[in-house]
Order: sequence, then structure tokens, then C-alpha cells
Amino acid sequence: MRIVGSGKAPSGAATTFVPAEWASSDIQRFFSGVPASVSAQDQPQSTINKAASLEKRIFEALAAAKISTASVAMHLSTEWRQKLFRQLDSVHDIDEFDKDDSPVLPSSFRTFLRTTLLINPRRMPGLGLSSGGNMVAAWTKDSDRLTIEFFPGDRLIWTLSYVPENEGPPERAAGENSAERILEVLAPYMPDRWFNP
Amino acid sequence: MVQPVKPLADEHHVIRYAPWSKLRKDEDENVHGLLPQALELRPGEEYLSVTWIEFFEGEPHEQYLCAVSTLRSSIDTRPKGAMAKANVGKMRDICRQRSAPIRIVHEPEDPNEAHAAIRRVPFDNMDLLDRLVTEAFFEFDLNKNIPVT
Repeated sequence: MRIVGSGKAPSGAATTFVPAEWASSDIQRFFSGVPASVSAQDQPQSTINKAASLEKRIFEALAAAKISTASVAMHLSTEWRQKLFRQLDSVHDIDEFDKDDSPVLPSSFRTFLRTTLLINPRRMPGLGLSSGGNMVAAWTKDSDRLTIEFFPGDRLIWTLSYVPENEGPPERAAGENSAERILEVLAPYMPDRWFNP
Repeated sequence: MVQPVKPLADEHHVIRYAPWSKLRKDEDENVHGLLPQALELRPGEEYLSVTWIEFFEGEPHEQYLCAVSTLRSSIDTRPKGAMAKANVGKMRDICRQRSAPIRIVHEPEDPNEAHAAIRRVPFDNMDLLDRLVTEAFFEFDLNKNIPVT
């Protein structure tokens, strides 16, 4: 069931929640038209033509990510988009890139983009990459930390720690869920501390 | 002849290199430490590689610089990557709390005679890895800021 409206998804409901301002045809095409399974562009490094230079693979990965972003650009502020591209380029800096790592997987980036649209954070995370090419987003505010790894197929794995009321020992939580459930599973931890300080 | 395996003492320390893409940064790219992904294993890897600081002689800072120098000559390190230091006993405490039978042992590997291996950690447990980077590997220096010796 798809609900179009405002506010948060009803708790416990097996729904796909699309806020009204996102219910345009282009967002729905982006959400539904992209295959959830691993695409040909996501092949493990070992199956890619090893003659392809690292520089070429990085270029292609960044191009795919920026094309994906362009398809939903009207829902991202110019400042946000510029910061995103700057960090993407930085994480893939050829002078710093570990040659045994994979550039960002297109399907992981799509999960990141979808999650970003769902969360709509005012504050941008710091970006990183797993060795296998999954996007990683980290929000850090003093000792409060949230880290999310984005997998193909709209799956997320996250871990967080925070100090309640800024005193006492830190509390920790971790989870694995679909992108569309991220706000619901993070709700008990008041995620505005990271997303909208 | 099989060499006996030597576990590292609790009071000793190790360093691990993490490239730029595996550093925890904020939106302005200020570095705040390591991402848990900095401790993940690649497919086929059986242990996490670190360098044992107290393998070297001298004052603690001299030992640290020797360990960094050895690491630089044995793997590909880049300026914006970081060298993160962890106490061995702290790592064991964290893993013991999660019933993870961690082993941290000296396993020399050419050309790194101070190479140590971290084994038997559930390296797919992002929560445990996050605790390790937050509470054990929290001391770090950017590679470009460490003098060449």
C-alpha cells in the first residue's frame, strides 16, 4: 500500500510512505524504475576487465552517481548537490584511493540517494566507502554518532551511539532494514540530533 | 619448524592504517576518527593486519615512529590516510563484552617484522567494529602530519 501525505509513516504499517511533495512522477519513476537487484555495473572487481584502469573505473562510477543525482536534482538544493558532488569526488581522489577497493557501486548510491530523499536532512553527512564500494554516511555531533552503510536493493545497516541528556554512559543501537523504514527505526533516538541540529 | 604464536600483552599497542575513504569525517571533511569499515576484511582475508608498536625498542614515541615507518614501507599509504593506535587490552575488553574470542598475535610477514594479526572477531558485525574504532582506535594521526624517519 502506498500512502501519499505529510508527516511520518504510521507505526507498524506495512506501507510505502511518499510525502506529498515527493509524489511527482519523476520520483516515482526513480523509486520504481530502477532494478533492485545488482546491475551489470555492480559486478565485483574481479569480473571487471582488469585492463580498465582505476582512473577509468572511478570516472565511470562517479558519472553514474551524478547521473542518478541529476534525475532527482529538483528535490535537492543546489548547495546540497554541490556538497555531495564535492565529497564524492574527494572520496574517489585517485591520489588517495586504495587500489584494492571498489569505487561506489551504482546500486548502493541509489540506496543512499533514496534514503537521503526520505530523511531530507538539513545537515549533510561525511561520506566514506566500504572496500566493496558501498556508500557510507556518518553524522557526528560531539560524542553522538550515526553511521549508515548503503547496500544494493534499498538495504541499510546502521549503528549509533549517543549520550542521553548529555550525561552518563553512552547508549548504543544497531539495525538492518529497508531504506523506507529508516525514519521509523531511528525515531526512538531522536535523529534530529544528527539530521537537523 | 612451526614457530610458537605470541599473543600481544594487554598493555601493548598496535597501529592500523586507514585510507581517506574509510575515515569518519563531517560535512566539511574534518576528520573525527575511523569508520567501522576501516576494520572490515576483504573477501578471502582471514585476519585484520596491524603493526605492533612495542616490537620496536626505545621511548614510546620512537617506537610509534618506527612502527609507522615500517608500515609505510610495507603497504601503500597515502597522505590523507590515517594511522590509528589502539591498546591491545582495550580491544580484548570490548570483544569479551560481546563474547567475541578475539586473538591478537604477533605474526611477522615480510617485509613487516612487527606485523600482528587480529583474528576471531565477527568482522561483519558493524556495531562491534564501531565500538572498536570509537573506544579502541580513537587515537589517530593523519599520515601527512607524521614525520618521515
